[in-house]
Formats: sequence, structure tokens, C-alpha cells
Amino acid sequence: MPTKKPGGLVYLVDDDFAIRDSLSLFIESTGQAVKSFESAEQFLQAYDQEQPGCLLLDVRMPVMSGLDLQDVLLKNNIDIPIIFISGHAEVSDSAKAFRAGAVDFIEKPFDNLVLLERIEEALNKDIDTRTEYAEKLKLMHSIDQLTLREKEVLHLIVNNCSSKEVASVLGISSRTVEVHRAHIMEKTHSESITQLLIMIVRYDVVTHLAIRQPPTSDNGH
Amino acid sequence: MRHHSNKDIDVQQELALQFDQFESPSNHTVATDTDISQLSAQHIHELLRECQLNHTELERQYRELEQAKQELSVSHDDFAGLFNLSPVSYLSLNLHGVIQKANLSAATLMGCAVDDLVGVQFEQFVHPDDRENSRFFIDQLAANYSPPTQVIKLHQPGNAAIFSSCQGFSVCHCLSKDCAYISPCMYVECQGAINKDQICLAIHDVTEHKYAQETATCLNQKLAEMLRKQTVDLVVTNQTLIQKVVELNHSQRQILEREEKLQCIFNAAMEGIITIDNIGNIVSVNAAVKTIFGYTEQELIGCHITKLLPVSGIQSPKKTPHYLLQQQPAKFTASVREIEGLRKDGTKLPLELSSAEFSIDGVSYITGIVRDVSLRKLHERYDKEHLEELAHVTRLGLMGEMASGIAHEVNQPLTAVASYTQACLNFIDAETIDLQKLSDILRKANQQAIKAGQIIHRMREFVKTRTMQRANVDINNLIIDSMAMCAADLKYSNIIHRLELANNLPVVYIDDVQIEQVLLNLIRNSIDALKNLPEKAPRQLCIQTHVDPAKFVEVRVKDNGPGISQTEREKILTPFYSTKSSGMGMGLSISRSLVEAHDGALRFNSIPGKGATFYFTLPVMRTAYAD
Repeated sequence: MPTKKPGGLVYLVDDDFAIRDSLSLFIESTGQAVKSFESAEQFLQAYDQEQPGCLLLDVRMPVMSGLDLQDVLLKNNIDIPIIFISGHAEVSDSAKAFRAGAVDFIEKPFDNLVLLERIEEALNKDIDTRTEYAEKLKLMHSIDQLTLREKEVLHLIVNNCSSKEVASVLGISSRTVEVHRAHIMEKTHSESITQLLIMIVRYDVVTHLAIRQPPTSDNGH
Repeated sequence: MRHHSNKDIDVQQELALQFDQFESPSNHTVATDTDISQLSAQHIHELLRECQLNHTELERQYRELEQAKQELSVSHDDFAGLFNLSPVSYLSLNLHGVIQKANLSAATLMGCAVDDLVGVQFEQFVHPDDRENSRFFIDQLAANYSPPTQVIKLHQPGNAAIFSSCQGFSVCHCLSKDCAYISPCMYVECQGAINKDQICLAIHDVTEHKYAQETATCLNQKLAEMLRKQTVDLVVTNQTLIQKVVELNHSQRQILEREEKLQCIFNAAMEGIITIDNIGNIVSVNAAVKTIFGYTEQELIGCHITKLLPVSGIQSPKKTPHYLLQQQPAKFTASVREIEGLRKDGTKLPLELSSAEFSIDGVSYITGIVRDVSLRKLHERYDKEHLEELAHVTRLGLMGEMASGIAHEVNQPLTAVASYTQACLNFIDAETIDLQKLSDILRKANQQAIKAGQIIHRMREFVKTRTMQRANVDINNLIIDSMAMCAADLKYSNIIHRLELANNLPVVYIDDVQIEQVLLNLIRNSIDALKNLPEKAPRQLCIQTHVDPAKFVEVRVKDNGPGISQTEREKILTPFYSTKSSGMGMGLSISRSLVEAHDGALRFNSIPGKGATFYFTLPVMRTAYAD
């Protein structure tokens, strides 16, 4: 029985009362907060995007199925981790769910402890996602602070250019490149340029460095 | 007639002759006595004596004459009386046809007094139509030619009253040589005779005779007509009779032929034909009876029917009044019934019996036709067993197809049980234990476990090998249970289902598993049909129950799927025909057989593109079934 509970709320959507009732009780019994809904529509109405959490979702439901709900969430850029619970082990359903980014697809009946682990993973994932997103925002913000020349330098570095190459491409001295690098590290609070590069790739902000002005115009300076 | 004429007339004539003889000599004598003075005394004396002699002679003659005159007078009176009172009318006419004399009868006939008749033209009394004739007749008489008797129509110068009085007259003959006739609207036979310048007519009223003759003629004509008609009728009747005789002969031949045929059928029939009289004694049996029961005809005639049918299905005819039984057409006393017969060897056998009552000459009989149905019963049992086996196999197949859905149905409560119990375990590990909460959770878990068990039980029941067991069942409950078994599939296929079940339905006497099989088949067919609809199209399934006018409970399974095409329609109820990629094609055919085994019927209708409705009926009343 895991004792440390990650923060966050478990959303449970299932049209079967017995499942809803028993799972809610079980999740509660582990000390985890849970909110259950009879239908996808009820869930959408009550969902608070600011609240970290995960979604336990029944695949087959009348009117709006679990897969339909997944679609709606994707379209609304809601990236809540979804654990599908299914009575029918349909390969096509699980494939579809996974393609759309489901974290898990559990078949009834299931081992409750396994479910609990998956819930914890999902909650942690959500927290990680939220943390990463915050860091990404921070990185993007700090990149925005860079001057145009600094961005050019960083872009070339991301594209695997050495300082010399950067200097030759930009037509500036190697020393000036070093100064730009120091400024970049400072502005992005990075300990090393390697760490910064890892961050950029990880948060996929390379496009954010896209040079808005053609570099040829800069060549004149 | 003249020779019968009155004596008086003869006398008169004789007297006239005598006068002639008497006068002649006297005239001669007087002529010779021209001068008496010149005669001698003797001569005078002689004359005197002659005178005395003459005188005496004259006196004698006078006396004789006086006597004759008296006789004549008497005779005249007699004649006048006879003349007047004669029933015959007499008329004397002059040669111009003027009436000179008439008797009373004539006056009465003419309708006026005798005096009024005299001096009047006879013609005036003749009917205008006949005047020409009468004139000719009288002219003939006047010419001293004696015509034959003639009938002349008279008319009285009065009116109808005269006519009626005329009828009172009778015959009248004319005695004279000449005759005419007379009377108003009256036929008179006349004979006339000329007497110098006088014509005498004897008139005989023949009106009645004439009328009688006419009536007779008329009657004769009628009689002849009737005779003719009757002759014609008789000829026709005769022809008809001849034809009927021919027909009868033909019919008789036909009857004989038919009798032959019937006799042939009677003995060739596979069914036993037994006739009993009104106290139940066997009168006749056919050949088949021996085959069925083992008794020969001789062993049965005269025996009571209970020898063959211990619980006799043939009831003795009711004691109907004699007159009612006569010539009544045969009537069927009952429809076909199943009864038990007894063979000669003591074994029992199932029979089907139909009987009809008839009567001959007031004695009533019953003919019963019995059919040995033991072979058929055996076949029926085999068929039933075969159907049960087939139903079982298809149930297994059905269960296989439904397995994933049912697994889901079982998974739901099992999942709930697992979660409830795990929750309990977690709560027990907590520092404070809320027993009430634990007990509530465990109760819920228990319910879910029972629910799962029921589904499994139901499934087991469904696939178990079993014989048909009928009981009184609430069809609505059976439908709800069947729908529960399909709940997962319905949900999975996004089907909106609706139950429209009639309240207060009578219970049906059915094998619940078999009818559930029918229901599941129909529901699953609908689900499969609805799956063919486009993803977002609404899918609807509806089950309805109601009692139809024929007192059958009818169950309808209705969907809005693609429906059944014309080509599918013909084959859909036949075995091994399936529109699905998977499936044996046995579902509907076995369903139909099962419903029919319950004395119901399974049918469907469909509008392609709009959906299909399958419906089946089940009898409400418990039917006698030889299970």
C-alpha cells in the first residue's frame, strides 16, 4: 500500500453505477481524492483545467463514448492523462486510444493494486507534464529576452555549429561569439551551453528560435 | 200438324158440305112449281104431301142442325178455351202480316193485351235485327210455300222487364199451314200455314232452349279448350315422366356405381370405419378395423363399442323424438379428437376419432372414423427430440456469439466486487475502523457477486441439454432478462433500446429457455443489423408486447436498421441462410421451429432502408399437449 500520495484528483467516468461506486470507494480508501461522473458530458461541465489529475474513463457509454471524450479533450488541448477501463478487450479500441495518447488501457476485471499504480503513474505524469510545461514557458520566456544576434548565435549552436563556425557564418570574431554565449547563458540561467541545448530539444522550442529576420540582412552589420 | 187439327174445323167443313147437298134439290123443286092454279088437286095434293114430307124432313134437319149448332157451340167454347189457354202462342195474320187474331199466350208473349195485338203489324214485335228474316218467312207463307221451322227474334215494345217475363214462356207451335215468329229478344220456333188469306203462326218460346243451347255450346267450347289444355299438359307431363324415368335409370346406375366405389373405399381406407346403433352396438366395420385392432368383423358385429374404445369417444345418439330423427342429414357430432383404443392383444394405442350421426327410418346410428396415430406420435416425438437437440446446438452457438457480451456482463459485477473488497481491506488497514461503512460496502459487494452468479447461472441454464419444459411464464419478465443478457452488446453498439410492454398480459404456457432463445436471436439479429448503419446514425431497438385479437400474446422486435431486401425475404427463415459473415444461418429457422412448437407463429415485415420488425405469437391458454 503506497503511503505517499501524489497530489491531484482522480476523475472517474463510467455509466455503470456499481463500477462507479466501488471504484470511488476503493480510490478513496487509498487516500486519493476522486470525483465520479455518470457521463462524459457531466465530466466536461465539471472539469477544472487548473486542477492536476487523471481520468479513469469507460470506453463504452451511451451518447458520448470514452473515445469520443478523448477526441474532445484533444481538440481542446486538454492534456489530462487518460486510463481507459474496458469490459470489451477490443484491439481496435485500445489502438485508437493509445494513438490518441492514452496512458493506459485496462481490461475489467483488473487487479485494483495495478490500477492504483497506474493511477499514481498517471497523476505523476500529469504533475511532470505540468512542471515541464511551466519550465518550457520559462525557457521560452527567457529566449524571448535574447537579442536578435544572441538568438542567431544560439540557433547556429543548436544546429551543431562550433564557435568558429558561428563566427565565420555571422562574420564576427570568435571573441564576440563567446561574449554572446556568456550573455545567453546568463539570460537563460543555464549552467552550461550543453544543458541549455538539452532543454531546448526537450521542450521542443527550436522553432521558437526561428529567425524572424533573414540572416542575410544581418550580414551587413 | 194439320192432321192433328182441331175437330171443330172438321165438323164445320162437313156441315158446309151438307148445306150444299140440301139446297140443290129444293132449288130444283121450286123451279118446277111455277103456277099452282093450273095444277090439279091431285097434283096439288101430291105437292102438299111432298111439302109435308119436306116439312118433316126440314124439321128433322132443323133439329139436327140445332143439335149440331149446340155441339158446335160447345166445341167452339172448348176450342176457344183451349186456344186461349194453350201454352203455345197462336197468331193469325192476314197476307200483309197484320195480326188478325191472337190467343192469350201470344198476348203474354208479346207483352200486350189480345185486343192490342189485333190490327198491328206482326213485324213490330220482331227484333229489328230479324225483321228481314221474318218478312221473308211470312212472304214464303203467303206464297203458300211451307218453309221449315224458323227461329225469329222478337222484342217487346217495352223494356228489360218484358225480357224477364218472356222467360216464363214455354213452347209454342204454329198449327196453321203458315208460320211466323215473334218475341222481343227471344228466340221463337215458328211453323206457319197459309189458310186462304190468313196466316196462322204457332209460336213457341225457345229462348231458354236457345240460351241453353248457347250455354251448352259455350260450355262445350270451354270443355274442348280445357280438354285441349289438359291433353297438352298430359303430353308434357308424360314427356317429363319419360325423361325422369331415364334420369332415374341413370341415377340408379350412378348410385350402384357409387355404392361400388364407396364399398371399395370403405374397405380400402386406412382409417377404421365403425358404425354403431343407438345403444352402442357395432353394426358394421371395414377391413382396416382388423388391421388396427386385430379383431375380425365377425368378432365385432353386435359387440358394444367399448370393446374397441374403452372410454368411448362415440356417444350414443341422444333420445331424440322419433319424428325428428327421420331423414335427417348426417351431422358431425364433434371435430377430430384424440382417444385411446384397445387392441385384441390388450395393448393400448392412440387414435384420432371423428364421428357423424345419421338416421335411417327413425333409427339413429353413429359412424366413427378412427385413425391409428401411434406412428405419427412416434414421429412427432422424434421430431420434438430432434428440435430440442437442434435448439440446444444452436443455443450453444448463440452463447458462443454472445460470449464476449456476457463476459462483459459478468465482468461488471466482478470488477465492482474486487473494488469493494479492496476498499474494505484498505479501510481495515486505516487507524480507525468504521464498521458501519465496512458493512455497507460488503453488502454492496455481496449483491454484485450474486448478480455475477445469476448471470453465470442463467448462461448455464441456457446451454444445458434439456427437454422441453413448459410452465406459465410472464413474457415481459423474460424479455427484460433477455435484454439484460444483451445489455453489453447494446451499449457497445451504441443502440438506444426501448421496451413497450403491455400491462396485465396473461401468462403464457411456454418453455422459457426456448422462447428466450427466440428472443435473443431476434435481439441479436437486430443488433447486427443496426451495426451496419453509419457510425453517427441513431440506432434504435424496440420490443413491444400486446394481446392480439385472436387472444395470442404477440411480441414484436423492431429495429431501424437497413431492413430486409426482397431477395433475402424469401430465404431468411430457411436453415443455413445467413446475411452475416459469421453465423450458421440457423437462428431464424430454429426460432421459427421453436415458436411453432409452442403453437405460435413467427413472421416478419420490413421496409428496406427503414428497418425490420420480427414478431411472434404465443397462445395464452394452456394447450393439451401430450408431453
